[in-house]
Amino acid sequence: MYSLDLLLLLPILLPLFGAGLVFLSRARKRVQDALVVGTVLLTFAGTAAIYLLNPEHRLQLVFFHLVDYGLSFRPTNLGILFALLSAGLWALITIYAISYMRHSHSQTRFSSFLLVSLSGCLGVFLAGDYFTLFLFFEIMTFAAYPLVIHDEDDEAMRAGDSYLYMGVAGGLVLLLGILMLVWSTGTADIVPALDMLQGGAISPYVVALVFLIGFGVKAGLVPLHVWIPHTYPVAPAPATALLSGVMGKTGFYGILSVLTVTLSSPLPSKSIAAIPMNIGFALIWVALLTILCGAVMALLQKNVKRLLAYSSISQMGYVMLAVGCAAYLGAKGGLPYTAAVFHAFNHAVFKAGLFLMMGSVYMRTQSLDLGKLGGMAKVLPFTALTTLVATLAVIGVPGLSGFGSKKLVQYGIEKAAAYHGEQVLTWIAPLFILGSALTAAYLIKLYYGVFLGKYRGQPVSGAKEGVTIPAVLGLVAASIVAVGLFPERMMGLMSRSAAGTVVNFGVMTEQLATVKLWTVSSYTAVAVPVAIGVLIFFAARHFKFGAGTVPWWLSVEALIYRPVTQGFLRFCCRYVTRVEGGICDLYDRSGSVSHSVLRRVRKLDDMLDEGYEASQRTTTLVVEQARGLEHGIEEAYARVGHQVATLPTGAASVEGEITAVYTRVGQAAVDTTRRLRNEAASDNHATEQQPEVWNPQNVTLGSLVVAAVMFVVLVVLYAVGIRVLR
Amino acid sequence: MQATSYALTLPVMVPLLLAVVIYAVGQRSWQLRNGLSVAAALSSFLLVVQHYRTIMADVTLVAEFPELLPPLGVSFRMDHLGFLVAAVVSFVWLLVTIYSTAYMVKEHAKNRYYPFSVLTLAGAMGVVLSGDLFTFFLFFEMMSLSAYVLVIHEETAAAMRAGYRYLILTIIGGLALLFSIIAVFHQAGGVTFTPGGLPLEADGLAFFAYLGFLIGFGIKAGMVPLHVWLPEAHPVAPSPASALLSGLMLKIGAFGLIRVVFQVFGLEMMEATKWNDLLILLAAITIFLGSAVAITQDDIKRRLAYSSVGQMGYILLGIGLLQERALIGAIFHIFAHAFMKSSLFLAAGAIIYNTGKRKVSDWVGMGRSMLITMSVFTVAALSMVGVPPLVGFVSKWELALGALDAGSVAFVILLLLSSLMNFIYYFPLIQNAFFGEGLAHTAQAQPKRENVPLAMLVPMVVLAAVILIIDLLPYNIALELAERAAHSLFLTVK
Repeated sequence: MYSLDLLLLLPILLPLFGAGLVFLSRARKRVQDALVVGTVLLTFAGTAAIYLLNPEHRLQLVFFHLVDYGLSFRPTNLGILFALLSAGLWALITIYAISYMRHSHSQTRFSSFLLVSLSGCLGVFLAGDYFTLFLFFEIMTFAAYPLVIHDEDDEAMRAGDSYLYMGVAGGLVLLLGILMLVWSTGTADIVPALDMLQGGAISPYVVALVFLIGFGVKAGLVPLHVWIPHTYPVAPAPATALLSGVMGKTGFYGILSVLTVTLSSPLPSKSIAAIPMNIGFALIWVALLTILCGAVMALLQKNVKRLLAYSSISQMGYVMLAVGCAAYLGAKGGLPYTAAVFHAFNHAVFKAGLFLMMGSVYMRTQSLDLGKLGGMAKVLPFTALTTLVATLAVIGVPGLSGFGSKKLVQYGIEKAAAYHGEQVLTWIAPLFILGSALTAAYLIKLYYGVFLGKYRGQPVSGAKEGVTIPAVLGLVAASIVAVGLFPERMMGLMSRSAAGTVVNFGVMTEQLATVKLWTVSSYTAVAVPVAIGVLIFFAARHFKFGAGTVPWWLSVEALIYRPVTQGFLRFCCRYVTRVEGGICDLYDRSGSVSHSVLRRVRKLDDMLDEGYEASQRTTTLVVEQARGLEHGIEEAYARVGHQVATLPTGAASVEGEITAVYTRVGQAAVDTTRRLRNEAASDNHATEQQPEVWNPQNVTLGSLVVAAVMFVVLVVLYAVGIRVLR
Repeated sequence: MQATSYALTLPVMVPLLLAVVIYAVGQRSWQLRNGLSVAAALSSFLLVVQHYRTIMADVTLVAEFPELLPPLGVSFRMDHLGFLVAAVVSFVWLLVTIYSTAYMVKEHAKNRYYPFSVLTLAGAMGVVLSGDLFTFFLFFEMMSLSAYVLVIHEETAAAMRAGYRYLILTIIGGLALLFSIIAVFHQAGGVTFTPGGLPLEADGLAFFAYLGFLIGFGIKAGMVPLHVWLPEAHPVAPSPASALLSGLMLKIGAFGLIRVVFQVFGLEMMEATKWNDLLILLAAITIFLGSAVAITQDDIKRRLAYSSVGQMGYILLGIGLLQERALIGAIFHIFAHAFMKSSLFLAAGAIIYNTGKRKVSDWVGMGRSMLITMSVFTVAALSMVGVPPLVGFVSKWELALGALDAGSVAFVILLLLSSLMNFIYYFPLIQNAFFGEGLAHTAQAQPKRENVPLAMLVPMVVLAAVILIIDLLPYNIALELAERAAHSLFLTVK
């Protein structure tokens, strides 16, 4: 079987290889076109071979040691079915695109990425585990981006941002879910894992929620749909057809796998069985919201592709409603399971077809404004016919594809409502009818606006369609009719895809056997909503309801996404940057603080220096003064010494004076004696001469001064002596 | 199993000696100088990978020189971790050196650039192959200080300022390391890296030693709040030097932290003391802050630098969680981020070389004129975002599973949020470069031709090719080595 296993790689590698060749052959337009078409056709053939060779067998192929898991391809019946559908639609749309894009710029880019995203899309459907699925899911998301922004004007770039940011965010949420699953169960395989999840650290509800969000972005579940109305209108028609018809189905495929395989248990106990039931119950309401929101919004649109974008959201709501019912019913959910697969299949065909048909209108008119279009039935009669087929199929007219699948969804709801007797679920049926009526109304508005009435816009340009575009549109319409004529056979085909899921085949066969499509009651079940729809259409026209626009502030985008993303970015830009700036500031400031500390220290140092200097100055001064004092003292000493030195002379002179005085006194005495002797001798002299004693008159002024000075000096000496001794 | 092999010293000694030779030769012949610089990195790489078989046989090589620098001695050691990081460092260094032979032609002071580049390589190899903390510290300081010359190469005012900041923080980090090494030596009586950790007691001194290691390695690894040198230093350095700094030198800090956490303190002690909580907290802040600030930067190299901060947070988180899978993620991310960030810086360098445009907003239409360069950039950027099957995805996957092992969904969400933020700051670049050229208000004149020399193109393309292909090979060598490294670091406990 090994060689057959390699066949699985064909649909994945072939487009990648083709994309490389297309890129290389960019100089030769014809070769390139041939390569593109050849690649998609071969890919389709490869996928068909897989489908035909192994309808029951599971192929497994494990290689590449990426992380703990290699890439593995182990397609389920459901996967093969959708791979075949994708490859087929891709082939048709590519052929259409060759004509449609003939005069466009960047054709090489468009064609290469068309092929790469085909590889990604088929990889998702053929993946053997969530890990591989995620890998191709991401490849698809990124590869489709150049298709979305192909026009590269402002609007396209904005829509591209919306698409890619939502896509990447969704992808990361999906990764979170896969990580949780792998961690809890130890395997990424798409196998029943509820037993292992139950009682683990991570609740199965959390896992389910995360997966629903991750895949829900692609599938367009409200409120995760916001990128769709932006993206679909701006992408070129073939890209939109692929996005809406095929790539959106990967989200559905993921959700269906998670709910009916992963979150199931081979032998469910009562507590375990309640888990998927509750999740299904919640999903039913989300899906209903999606249906109604999408339909109401579609009715309000003036742009054809925006209308169809909301219609896609609404129709995917039908699919999800059936998925919810299937999960709710568990093993007994065979009928809604078949309904979900069937309706997804049909939606892929007719919605892709509708986008292509509107593309062909656009080629003629270069306008998609419902206010300007009209009367195209005369210009494009064949497109008008195919559009009528596709439109009626969406409405669910018997004999066309939508009839069987919508009817099945309705049966599924009845089954779910009857299952546990939940009163609330009986409310679904009327809401479902309301949804169908709104669908009829917006489709009538579309068809009427484009094909009937009078043309109000610019003169129609003469661009010829060629053969390929009508051929593609005709093929789509024919397949819609074919499916519509044999719904029972298709149901059987679809129900086979339930292999490997929680669904019990026996119960499913019984359920499907009870389905009666071709009865009067089911015709009336279609006719009633259509009648209401016509009424709504006319009422809306009369009251100009469709002309109004929903205020921007009421949209989910304005209410949730914008505030959240802008708030987050503002948080990043403003606060985190401020924190970061604060940290840097802190360092700078710590630098400047340490600088200022150092400066302080230096100032202190300076001050100390100054202090020293000042003290030095003071000391010098003190010393000088001391020196002066000393000098003074010395001088005083010197003077004293001088005085003292002069003292002996003074004293000598005093002595001399004294001596002189004495001498004179002695002389006088001698003289007196001699005289007295002479007197006595001579006559006994009578007149005795008085002897000359001390006479004050003899003391000279000089000697007095000297004495005074001596006294002063003695006093001073005494005082100094005492001071010094002390 | 251990074996002695003195050949271990060669990847360190050859560039160390060649650095001197290159300086001497550079005065005379620029051809010989450039050739020898390339030869230094090449020989270093070859001398490392020759041990491939031995390492894959789970043999740890050691070379001890107790008589050198007693009493501690110098020792070398090569285990799985050392082998992987040494091979990555020398290989990327080789490519970057080849790139710089063409890039640096326009620069001045080339005779200074090449010897110091080779000297830094010798230091980095010495760190990675060291067998004990002391040898580690020796080469760590050598690497850090010689890298200063690379940082200030332009010698503009901004470069000198950034260099000053780098140098101050480097010295603080070095001192913190020295303190911790002394503390470890004091407590354990040795500083050899030992499987399972050294006999340390969980007391205050050990905690301060841990803090010292955290500061020392955190500064090198760009851990918030010690990262401030990084966004300054990377933009001012010449592009090849930025690639070396951001792609390799940051990893040395993370590498040191792995060695310290698992082979000095030991897993048991870290688990018992819960000191890793501090590391985890800082890592989480690092991831968020780095990614958030990167969004706001308009200078491409600053944006890349902040992105590095965030990415280093991944590695630190992987170390801090103390889970085997998280550690695998961290070690693998050392490899992955080295390749991714080097190629981003080299691609940015090629654009600056060709056009002189550093502002992100000036890159409109760049993809058409510089297809190869921008393709390299795109591959690396998508890998940073974590798009499978590029290398960035694998590290994110392992880290996230490790975080779940540690029982924390919050860190997984943080990792994924950071991936989204990576996308937010890389995607506009890619978008501007390739799409929206028709928009009148953004139209800009871009060069007609991709005027980038082959010596610059080839290294970038090789790096991008590794990022793109290695996970798709049947045998992912890097992941295998990371797994074995983490396993052996955890095995020693039981």
